Amino acid sequence: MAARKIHVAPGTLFLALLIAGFILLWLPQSLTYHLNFLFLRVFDPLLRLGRQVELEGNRTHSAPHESIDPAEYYKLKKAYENLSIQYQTLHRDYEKLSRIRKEVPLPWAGLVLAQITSSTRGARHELILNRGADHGVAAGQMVLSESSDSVIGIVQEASARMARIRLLTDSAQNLEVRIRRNGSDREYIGRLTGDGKNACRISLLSRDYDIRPGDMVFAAARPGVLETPLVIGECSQVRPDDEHPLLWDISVKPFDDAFAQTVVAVIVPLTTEFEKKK
Amino acid sequence: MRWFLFILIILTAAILEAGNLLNLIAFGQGQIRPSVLIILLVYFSLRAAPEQAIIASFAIGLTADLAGPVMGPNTVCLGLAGSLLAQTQGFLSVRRPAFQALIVFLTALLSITASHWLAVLKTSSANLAFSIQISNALYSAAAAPVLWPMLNFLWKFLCPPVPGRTPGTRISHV
Repeated sequence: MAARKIHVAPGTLFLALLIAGFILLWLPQSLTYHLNFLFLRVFDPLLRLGRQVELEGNRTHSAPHESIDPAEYYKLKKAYENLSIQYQTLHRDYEKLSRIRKEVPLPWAGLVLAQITSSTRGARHELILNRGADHGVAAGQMVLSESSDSVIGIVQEASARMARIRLLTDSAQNLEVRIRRNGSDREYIGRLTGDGKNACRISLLSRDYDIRPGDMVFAAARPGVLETPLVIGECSQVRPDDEHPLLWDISVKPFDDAFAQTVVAVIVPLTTEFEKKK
Repeated sequence: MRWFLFILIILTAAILEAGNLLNLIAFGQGQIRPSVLIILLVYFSLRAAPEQAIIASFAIGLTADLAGPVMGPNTVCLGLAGSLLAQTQGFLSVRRPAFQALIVFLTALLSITASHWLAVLKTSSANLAFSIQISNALYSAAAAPVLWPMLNFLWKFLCPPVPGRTPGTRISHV
């Protein structure tokens, strides 16, 4: 029997679809984000297309000089800054608990290496990883660069096999940080936000604070997420805020370009259900 | 309309938007990219029959949501924008590339901004990159006259002429 053609008036059709759209909008994000991850998983091989070419384009080719390679320089600098702050943290702990035998704290509990399948660099700055809740990845965890020595973002949401990372340069990013000068014990607490381009900003810090270009910015330690502070980048510009002249407007240049990475590491605390099962 | 082919076209556009291929033609350190889905929305809204245009608009919105991080905002905004555009078919001529670019720019700017704020309502996290949204709308507008002839070519397969029926005045506007 031939299928009967159902005729619906355009007005009714429009209203029905609009109501369906609003229902979709009002459903909680915790329910609907699975659909986004389903799309990413199904079309994963196609979404990866072009990433290699993009990475090649980002890579800078420099002729060998007598001076050290910039990538090598930053790698060493990050390692030095991380060791330095870990040493200072340990030293403070030692001073406080000098009579108590204390195990040396691990910088992090466990790392899950994940491949970047896709990246978004428009209004949002995001990476899609091929590791998810099945590997212990959960929202709120810190994401490190390929060499695992600087923070580049935070897990925003995770499905069973994939995760969406909000990068530090995303304008919706908001992370507690510490600003510290090399060789100084004094550190300042601030909130880091992305500038939506390729850097970050720290505002609402009083100009009474002695902050200068070149000061290091660290992600603040958070119990269960990050046991010791970890370097993010350095203050590239420190100037008075145009709107609030009594406050600093600090630009922070992250050490690592998240979009140039192919593999990243997610810090997975041992206290997660995943590790308990193990 | 051949809906299977239509779904293939919008899925390809969604893959382009969510993937890395469009980064190859992006400006501003990869931040400014054209929105292929918005160009498709304008094209189908102005070309298809009103009922088909409404369905196509909401389908493009849903696909844009799937390719993004939040479900709902684009379905509502692109569906609404496409349905409104479909109502202007009789008196909006988009044969000239400048008009195509202008309509795509206005549609992109309004729908991207509206869907952004709906996404903020849902997730409570605001990306304050308006300059990027305007730049994306401009880039989409610039790309529209390039894609338009390709879409005209695809239209022959999407909606083959029915024997005995001549294309109406609506089609002659596009």
